[in-house]
Amino acid sequence: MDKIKVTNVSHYYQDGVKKKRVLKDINVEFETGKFYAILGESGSGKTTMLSLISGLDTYQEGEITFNDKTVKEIGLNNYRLKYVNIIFQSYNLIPYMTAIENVIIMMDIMKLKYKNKKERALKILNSLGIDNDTASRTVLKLSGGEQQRVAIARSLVGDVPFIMADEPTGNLDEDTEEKIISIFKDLVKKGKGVIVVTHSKKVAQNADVVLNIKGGDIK
Amino acid sequence: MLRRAYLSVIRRKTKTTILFLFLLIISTLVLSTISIKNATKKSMEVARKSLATEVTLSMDMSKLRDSFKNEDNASMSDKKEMMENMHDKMSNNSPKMSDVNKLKKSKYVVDVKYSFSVNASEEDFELYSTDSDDNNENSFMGGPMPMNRNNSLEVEAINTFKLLDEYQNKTITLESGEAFDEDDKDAVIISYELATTNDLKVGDTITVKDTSDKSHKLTIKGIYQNSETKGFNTSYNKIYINASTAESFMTEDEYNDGNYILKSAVFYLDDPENSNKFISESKNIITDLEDRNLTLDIDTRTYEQMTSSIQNVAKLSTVILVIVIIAAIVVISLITINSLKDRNYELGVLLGLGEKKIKIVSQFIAEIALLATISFVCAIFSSKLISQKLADTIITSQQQTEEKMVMGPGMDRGNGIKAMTNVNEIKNVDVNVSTKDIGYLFIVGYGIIIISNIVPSVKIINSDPKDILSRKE
Repeated sequence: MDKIKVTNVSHYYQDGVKKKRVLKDINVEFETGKFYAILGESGSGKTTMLSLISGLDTYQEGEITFNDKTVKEIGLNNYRLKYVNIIFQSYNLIPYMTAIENVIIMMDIMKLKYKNKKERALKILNSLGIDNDTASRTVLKLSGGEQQRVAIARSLVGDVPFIMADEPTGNLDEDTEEKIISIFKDLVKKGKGVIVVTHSKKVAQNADVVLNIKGGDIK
Repeated sequence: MLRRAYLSVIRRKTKTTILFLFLLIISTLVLSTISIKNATKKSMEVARKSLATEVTLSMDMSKLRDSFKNEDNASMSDKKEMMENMHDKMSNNSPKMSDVNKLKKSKYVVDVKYSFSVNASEEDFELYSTDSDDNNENSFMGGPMPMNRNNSLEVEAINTFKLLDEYQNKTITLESGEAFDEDDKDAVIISYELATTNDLKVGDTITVKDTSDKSHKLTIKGIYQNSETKGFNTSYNKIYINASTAESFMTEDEYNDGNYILKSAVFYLDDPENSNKFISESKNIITDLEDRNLTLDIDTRTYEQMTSSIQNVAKLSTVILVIVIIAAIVVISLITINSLKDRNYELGVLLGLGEKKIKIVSQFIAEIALLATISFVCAIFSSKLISQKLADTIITSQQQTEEKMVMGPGMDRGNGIKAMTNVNEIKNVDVNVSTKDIGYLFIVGYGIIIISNIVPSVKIINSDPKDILSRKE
């Protein structure tokens, strides 16, 4: 079982001449095989929290470790490449590429040595409900739900222990939201750790652990 | 990284087409100017090798004048003494046959021309008399001819007739017969007027007497015609003989063990680049060259006149090349920076996914390099079409500019052009796109791409994925 441990993490933003604290003395642990939902009002610090534990941003105080090794030691880029994958509300797909190509580029970035990358990408996409025809279209021609599934497929190719998502269902209708939640739950069953920042009560209801952030602190 | 670069190029069709067309124009201009530059260089090289550079051994007249000024001429008793002194000085400071014999052995000398005058008089023929000319074309201002040079026989010796200045610049032409060379002993070339007066033709003989009254029989090898408008200075009683024949006309004093005075001595070198080497070598061989007020002058005027147009073309093509390179760097930098703004989101995604910054920089360079490579290949064909036309246009405009400069305001067009007609100026350059030129295009082209990607690369390296993606969110 892999573990991300957050110890006494505080984080600040420079607001003009003032230093504004967005997170204060956060202590929390995330394990694989569990579905975490981080809730909070806008500006509460939940996205900052996700940026720090996903390695998109560097923490200023305290320590974040992956299996007892600090993220700084691992290196942010290396950490993002090997241990976590992030899914964004706006999917963050490369617009001029097809769904398959978006998945394949992740394999290229991770230097994964699959004999047939296209076949492997299609297998993942098919498992998330994207058929071959849809997979061959450029992502701009896909619906929001399809794009989000392509983004999830991309995060699954590397078989990283943690999948993190920022408002993954924010732009989706209820049916599609349910499908995405179902995919997350399946991933958890397969031993992945899923951490989702959300406003959605439905996502929170399906999570194993719900963390409420208020005023930069976990309540 | 290459897959992403390839996909970006083929999927972003409009931007790719615009960039490709721009790169094609740039690479065509770069290749054309490189080809023109190399073609002019080649033409100049050919011209250089085809022209034997002339180095003239002569008196340094300015030094000689200075030496006269420095002497106290007032101390000389009379004008005659002063003239004698001047004559002695001129004799001592003239190039001599012995100098030519020493210098012509140099490995740089491909030919030599020397001439001198000998004193002789006619024995079995009459001189042409201008006084008897019914047309009176040689009368001076309608009155009697002052100091008429045609009252005596002039004998000029030259080693090879074809090298004679008057023959080369077509002041005289051979009306019949042929020129003599170094081995043609006792050969003579006489004027048409002299031949007509004495009813002589090629193959006939004439006899002249030297200063010791010794007779010399000479066989007429050719008859020349003065092609310039005949006038006061035209010499009708001048004959040309071979240098070795002329030596037999000299007294022992005149011959002076081969140290006799020459009228002129010109050395033709194998390559203009060896001119200075020849001069330094000559100064070592004739150590008293400067003491004798002798000078060796390089004459590169012919080469310069021949190549003046294409030299300007070479300069202009260099200027165009530099301008194109600078413009290309600026425009490609701007295109890439602008494209980076469009692709900021893609940059953030790739960084967010854990891609290394250096690989993203490489991807952007690979995209433009891929297009550039295709445009370079296309430029090989397009520049073949335009480079010759471009070169011709530049040469024409250069020649027009030169003509205007030569003629000047109010100058007669005929006179201006006449000054240039003695030299066959190179008026066209055969531009061919060579493998070497293509090689240069690839080096320059990739150089432009690398330089123009420096600023965008710095921008990528300073990018923060969180900032980019949070702006998007």
